[in-house]
Amino acid sequence: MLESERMLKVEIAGPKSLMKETIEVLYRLNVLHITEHLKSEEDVFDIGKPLEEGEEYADMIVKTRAIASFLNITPRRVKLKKDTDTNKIKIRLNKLYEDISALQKKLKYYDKVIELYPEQAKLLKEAGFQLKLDADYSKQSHFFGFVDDDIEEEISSKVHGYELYSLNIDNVKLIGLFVDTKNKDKARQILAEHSFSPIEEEHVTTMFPDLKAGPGMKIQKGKQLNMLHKLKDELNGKIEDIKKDNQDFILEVENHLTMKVEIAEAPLKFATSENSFIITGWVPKKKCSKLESELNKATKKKVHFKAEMPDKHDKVPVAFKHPKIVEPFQFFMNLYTLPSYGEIDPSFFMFLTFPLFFGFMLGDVGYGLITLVLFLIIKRKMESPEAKGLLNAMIFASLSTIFFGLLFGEYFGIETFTLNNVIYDFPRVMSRMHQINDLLSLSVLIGVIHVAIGILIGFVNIYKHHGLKHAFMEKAGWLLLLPILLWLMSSFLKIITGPYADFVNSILPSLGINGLLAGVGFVIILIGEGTRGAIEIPGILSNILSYGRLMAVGLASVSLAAVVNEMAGELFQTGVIGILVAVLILIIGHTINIALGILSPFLHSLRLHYVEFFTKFFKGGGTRYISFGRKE
Amino acid sequence: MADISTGLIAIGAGLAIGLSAIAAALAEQTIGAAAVGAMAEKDELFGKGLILTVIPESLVIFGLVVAILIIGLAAH
Repeated sequence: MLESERMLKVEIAGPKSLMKETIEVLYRLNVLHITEHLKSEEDVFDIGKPLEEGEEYADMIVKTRAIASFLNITPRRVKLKKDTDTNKIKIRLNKLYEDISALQKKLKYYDKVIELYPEQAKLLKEAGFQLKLDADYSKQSHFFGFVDDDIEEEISSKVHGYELYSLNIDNVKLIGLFVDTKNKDKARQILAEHSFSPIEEEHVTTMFPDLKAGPGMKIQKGKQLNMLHKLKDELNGKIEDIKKDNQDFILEVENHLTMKVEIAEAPLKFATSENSFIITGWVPKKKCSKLESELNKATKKKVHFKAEMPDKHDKVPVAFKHPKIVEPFQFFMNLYTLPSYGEIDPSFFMFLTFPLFFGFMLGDVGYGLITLVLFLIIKRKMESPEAKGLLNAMIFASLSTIFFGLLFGEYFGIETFTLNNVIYDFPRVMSRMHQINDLLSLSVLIGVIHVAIGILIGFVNIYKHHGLKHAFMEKAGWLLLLPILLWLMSSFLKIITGPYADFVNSILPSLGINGLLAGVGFVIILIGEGTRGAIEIPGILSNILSYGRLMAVGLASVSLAAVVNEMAGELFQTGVIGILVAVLILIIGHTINIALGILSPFLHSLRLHYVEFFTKFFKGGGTRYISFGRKE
Repeated sequence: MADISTGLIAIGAGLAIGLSAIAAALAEQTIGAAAVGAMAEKDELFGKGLILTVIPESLVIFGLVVAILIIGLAAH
């Protein structure tokens, strides 16, 4: 719980002919963190090349994602089928890709024609089709309109004697076609294949008054736009059908291909020579034997497997090992830096104290309930596990806020209520509004305990890595300084007052012994850490005083709430408008205060951990353990 | 009606908070700007950036503690 997973350093070497089998085993087990091979100048081993089939898979996955994006399918993790025939996938995928490309093109065409529809008279004019002066148009059917592609070739092969004018407008062609009246059916057929959409006849006759034979394709006046929309809707319906039929297929294929591509590209991390490969990496100790036996089984013991304990200079990846309840607090470690290998992982301590500090600062039953509901709602909307983790942590913080609200007897900043002219007090252990000095004393005492825990963890950390002597020299001095600091704050500076001061004085030894302890502590710090340590001594006092923010932030929060309540309370007695304004003030005021009340305690609680707590023991700088296999 | 010495104590406490808050703000503005700049380059620096930014905040806390001590004087 307090440490990350134990790791073993693993080396796998074998002939290239077994590389694919090896990768497949590694991918399936999903336990090896592969260390990338970096080529240096005199290195005999080269960086590996992707497996041959990789390119084909990469090509297929591009198509799959293009289809997915056109059909509006978001790739997500689905269960893989055991026996997937890549060739069959490929054939179906290519067919689908072609169909969809054609549909996409057609859809674009209709969109453009619809867009151009209101401007067709102007377009026809600007096109400037110059009809032949000597031709006889009385026996010629004409077609004016839009088509999606070049039609000249087809027309010339099937229709004798025609006249064709055309103009490109983006992906659309505006054409004017004249054929003999007897040939108009043939022409109409060809045009229909190219989604011909005629222009309103009145525009044509205005432009070319000499055309006597009439249009080759008649449309009802003003109906063409509706027709276009209908065609487009039909197209969209088709796409919807395709989506329905292929959604599962696309998701499966996307997952399958992602896996294949990852497997094919794995050798990029390996060291390879002409005929062999070496994989180095890290495996959690408890999963090592399974990896070894599976590898031996798959390769008939033809691959060499070696596992050993890490030595001091290895950069071992870090995998958290927590009970489920602590997991949300990993978020704060990811935000800061991961603990290095073998170091005590502070997530558990954050789990204990982060909600505590947050609750102590916000400490209001009403605010706690509102933030709780708020976080629960946001959590349901969030999908990424990172965000969910953070919100789980914040839910703990809200619960703690409610708990402290009960202790402080605060409900939306209200401490008392009046019923039948009798003032009732909410039950409480301590009033934040009126016992400021007590609150400060308590905050500082919490600080002393928290810092002391930090120093003790530091002690254990150093003890594990460098032995008792080092641990004693580096950390004991600081612990010995704490009693005199307590005395200083209670008896001299009088920051700790009242019953808290009495309590501190009762547990502290006499001033003489205190001084002696501090003297010894000072000498130990001086020897252990040199002058730098001595310079930092006042820092520990400022660290402890910094916990005064537990009181300060809380006081600010409750004061603001009380001010809002007071302003609204006065207005409540001044009639209907007064009540409306008062309600408005209450809503706005408390909303602002809750927003501040989430942000400020969050940051300050985090800061107390990062700055005051972690600096006593935490080094960090670990790399994350990412196993090679299917991503969870 | 409070006498003039109480007033002076209140002014002293106010100055302790106000001046230390100004000092913290001045210190934080430069650090904050630099931290945001660093974070724009490299996301992982958020943790370090936050810590560096809030370090001067202790000044206000000290100001607050001093203010409370000063008000404590008034009680004596």
